[in-house]
Amino acid sequence: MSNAFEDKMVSDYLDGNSQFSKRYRAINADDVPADMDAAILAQANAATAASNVAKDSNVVSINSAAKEPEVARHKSLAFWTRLGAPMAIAASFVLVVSIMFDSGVRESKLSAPSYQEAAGPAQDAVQSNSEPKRDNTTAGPAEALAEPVATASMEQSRNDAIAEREKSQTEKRVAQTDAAPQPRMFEEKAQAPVAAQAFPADKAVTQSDERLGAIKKETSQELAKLSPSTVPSAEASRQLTNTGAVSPGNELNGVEVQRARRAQAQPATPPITIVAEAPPAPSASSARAPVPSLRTGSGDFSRASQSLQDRDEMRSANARASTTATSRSNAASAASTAEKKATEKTKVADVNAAKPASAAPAQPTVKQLREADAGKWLIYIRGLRMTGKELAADREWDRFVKAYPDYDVAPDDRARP
Amino acid sequence: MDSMQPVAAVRGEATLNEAGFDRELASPTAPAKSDDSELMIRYRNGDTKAFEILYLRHKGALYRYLQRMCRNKEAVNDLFQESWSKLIASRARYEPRAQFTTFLFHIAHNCAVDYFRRAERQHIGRTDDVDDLQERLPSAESDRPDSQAAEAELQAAFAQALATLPEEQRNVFVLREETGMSLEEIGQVTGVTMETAKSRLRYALNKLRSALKQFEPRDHTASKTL
Repeated sequence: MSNAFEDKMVSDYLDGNSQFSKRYRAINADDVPADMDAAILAQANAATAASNVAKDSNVVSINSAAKEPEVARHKSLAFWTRLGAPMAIAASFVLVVSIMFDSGVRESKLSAPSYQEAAGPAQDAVQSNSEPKRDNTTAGPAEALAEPVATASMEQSRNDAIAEREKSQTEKRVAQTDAAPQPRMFEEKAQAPVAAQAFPADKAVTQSDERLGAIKKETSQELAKLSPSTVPSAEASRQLTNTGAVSPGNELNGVEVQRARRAQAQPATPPITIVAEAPPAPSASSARAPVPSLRTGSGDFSRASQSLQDRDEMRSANARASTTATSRSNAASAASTAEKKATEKTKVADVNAAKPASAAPAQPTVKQLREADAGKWLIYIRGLRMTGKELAADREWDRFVKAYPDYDVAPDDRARP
Repeated sequence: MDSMQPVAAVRGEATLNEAGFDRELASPTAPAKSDDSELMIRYRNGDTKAFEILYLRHKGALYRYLQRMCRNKEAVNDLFQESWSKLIASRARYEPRAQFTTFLFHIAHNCAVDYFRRAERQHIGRTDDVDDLQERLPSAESDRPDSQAAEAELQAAFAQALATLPEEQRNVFVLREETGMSLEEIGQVTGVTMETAKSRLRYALNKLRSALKQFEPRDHTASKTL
């Protein structure tokens, strides 16, 4: 059998011209069972139905899935709608309370020094009026300052030169301060304490201010009692200038007064003329009220001269203490800065202490105005108690009772201790 | 070359009309291939009526194909149901890139191959199938006239020869007879090239002709037609 015959046979078969197909069709074949048809068609219908159900469920699930975010969003909106207003109110309340608390704390911080500042010097002056003896609190810093003075006695001459130089710088600053005055409270807060000093600078300055104010007050009151033989300050200064202790054109500070006193103490009993208070700046001195001067040598002015001597010693001690502290802390650059600040503070304190003393007779202070009215004084005492300053309130109350013994104060008044 | 009509078309699938299905759609004379793909797509989209039409069109061919491949009746029923079940299950993956018959018979072929593999593991010889076929073949010694007896012998010899063909050769021949597929499509169903399918068909025809050769002395014209 050749391949050609086989190929012809295959081609004839594929053309349908073969008996094989006829024989194949003649073979008996069973038909598909009826139950098989029904089973397969049922299976097809079931599969279609299942797919439709799945599609429906998918659609439902898709719809539900699409609705879920909406529901969640709606729930969140409902949540914020329900709790938004209370939360906003609570937040506002907390904010208001915090602001009030903060402002209250700030106000108390601000008001406490202002009360002390305004009341301190005049209060001590009133106390010194009623009780001329110095109490321990005012004498404490002076005694504490005595030791640095003693330790620095060897460097006195050099310190005097430094003090003079600082004095001139202070005068310039005082001139600027007079041009644009600021509350002392902020000046003192802005300045840092000097760590190198043996005592706190702020405290010493405050105490020296108070003591100087008291001395000036006392001096002015005693001068008011003097006879017309009082020498004007210009004359006293001129006399002191004539003695050679003070150079013309310069006002006297404590160091110069002390030096002049020492220089004039050499003769047997020459009359020493000192200036009780000098204006802080030459330019400002002419515009200010005349400063009363004291002529020592008479027994009437012994206390006044003693007060002036104390003031001068305290000033010089401050200057020496700051100078000593500066010499001890040369290694630290920060100490020099602090020393400068302390020096400036001391000078400014001197100037500020000099201001109310010179202006006190001319203009009544706030404290004087307040104490002139018993009602205002009581309000002030109540304010002290409300701010927790019980000691100051008690002290003010004692003074009030002494000043107004017959004033009718309610038994439940908050000003009472 | 491929002008031969499939067996289903020749037989007319009278059962469809007798079952009362849609005559137009179930008509064996109008089994458009494009219609099969459209029907399958419709069924994929949920139209069960389309599946019924497809089933009626192709159930006979598939069932006979499986009968020729595996003469165990229970196995044929199982394979038939398994094939349609796989078609139903894989309807979502159907794409009209090939003919529906190719898709359907590819599934059936794979099911048959799996069955044969399982049968070989279970030491089920195919001789049983052949014996079963011989039981169903008409007896040559039946009470018939000589001409009819000779024809019956010839048919029995052909059936036995077909049953004894190798699986691959029988597969190609039966697919060609039942579906009218081209050799290329047969190769796609069976997973071989067209040349391989043609070669298998040639071997199959040779063996069938050899089986019928014993009847040649008495009828030379028949040998020519074979």
